Amino acid sequence: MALTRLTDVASDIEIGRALAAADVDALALVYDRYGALAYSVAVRILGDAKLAEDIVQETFLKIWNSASAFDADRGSLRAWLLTSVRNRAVDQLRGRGAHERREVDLESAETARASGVGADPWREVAATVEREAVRDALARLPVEQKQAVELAFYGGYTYREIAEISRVPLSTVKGRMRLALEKLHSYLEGKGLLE
Amino acid sequence: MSPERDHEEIEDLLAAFVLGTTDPEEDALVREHLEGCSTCTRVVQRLQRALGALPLAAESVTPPQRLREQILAAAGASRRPEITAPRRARVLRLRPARTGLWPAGGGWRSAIAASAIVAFALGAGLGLGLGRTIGPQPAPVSGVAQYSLSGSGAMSGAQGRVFELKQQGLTLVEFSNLPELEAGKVYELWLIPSQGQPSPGGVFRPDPGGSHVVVLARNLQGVTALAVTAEPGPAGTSAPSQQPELVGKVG
Repeated sequence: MALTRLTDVASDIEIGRALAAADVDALALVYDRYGALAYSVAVRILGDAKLAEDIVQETFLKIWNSASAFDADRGSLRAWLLTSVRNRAVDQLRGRGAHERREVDLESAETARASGVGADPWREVAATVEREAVRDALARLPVEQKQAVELAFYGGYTYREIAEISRVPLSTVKGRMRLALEKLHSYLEGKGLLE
Repeated sequence: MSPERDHEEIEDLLAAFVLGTTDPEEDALVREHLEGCSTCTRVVQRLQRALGALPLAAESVTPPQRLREQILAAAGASRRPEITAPRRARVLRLRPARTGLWPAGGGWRSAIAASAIVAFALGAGLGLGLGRTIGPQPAPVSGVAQYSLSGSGAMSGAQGRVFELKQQGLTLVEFSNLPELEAGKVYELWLIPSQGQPSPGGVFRPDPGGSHVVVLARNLQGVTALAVTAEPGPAGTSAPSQQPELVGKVG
């Protein structure tokens, strides 16, 4: 059975179908769109370029082998991929001793603007707009709210651990997390980037 | 506790839940509550959308070009028909422990350290080739050798299937039926050369079903056998601490 050739503007639904039909070109397209972003997230969490490489590879193979589970109605392909990368990277971090904080070492990885092979320049522009908006939204948060979310998201700390680190009551941490996410949503919604 | 109080307490946990920072008991409570509370479900959906944007703020780092090639090569290989029906492979069966698979002699730990390769594949298994019955099969990848590992003793029933992608410089080891690990232990894969001492090939914890896939960014040139032992976690050891009970011959 011949597959319809995917183009650079293929939708998540089209890509999901192609992945489920074992089309390697679809996986290449997903990598070209989101591979650099996935790798950036893994490096941000793990602070280790080689480990990040392993996590990204594992995640793409997991998606390849469970593509039929992807449901575009429940979220985007990008969100599915990045959530998986984040969760795996945090698991790796915590499994190795999550409380040993390490400086991010990017010496072995080239720090540069993300650019996948065959990347769509318009998609790149859109990604840049989104990235700047999210950074702007984070920068607007009070320091303690931003810290709570970043410790949880990038460090994999539980809210109880964050309360200990921050020396504040549990209820305060839970409140900070809620406020931070609500503000992020409102800001990005106002920018037309979230529903 | 009244339903209202229960709702308020759960609502306080929603952001922590979305961020994955609740403990297992709280996690279960929230999930149960969400099944019957449309208000909290909407809150969770909104918070999840905000959370989904967070990765976009990560500093952009360009991955090495080899990563794309490795992923596509591994994906292509994992769909090969041979994976669902592997041919019989030669298996090295161990004698009792005193015969020793590990070479004797001292002073080899430092040699292992020098040749140690990076540990791969912590976390959930990849399920290579599992449950894929629809769609066309991609063309077979040339230059793929297959071997197998077989368990004995405490690891009786455990198996490993090895796919060596010679041209891509990749090796996939797909484990199944691995026994549950003792607390604080990890499985460690060893590469046994014809001469010299075993080299660590990665540590991993299988999924609840006893499955896992280890990906090695190398072929098996110079390796005569693969073996697995249970070692102290999370990082494993630089030298095996026991006789392996899951082994297979390469070539």
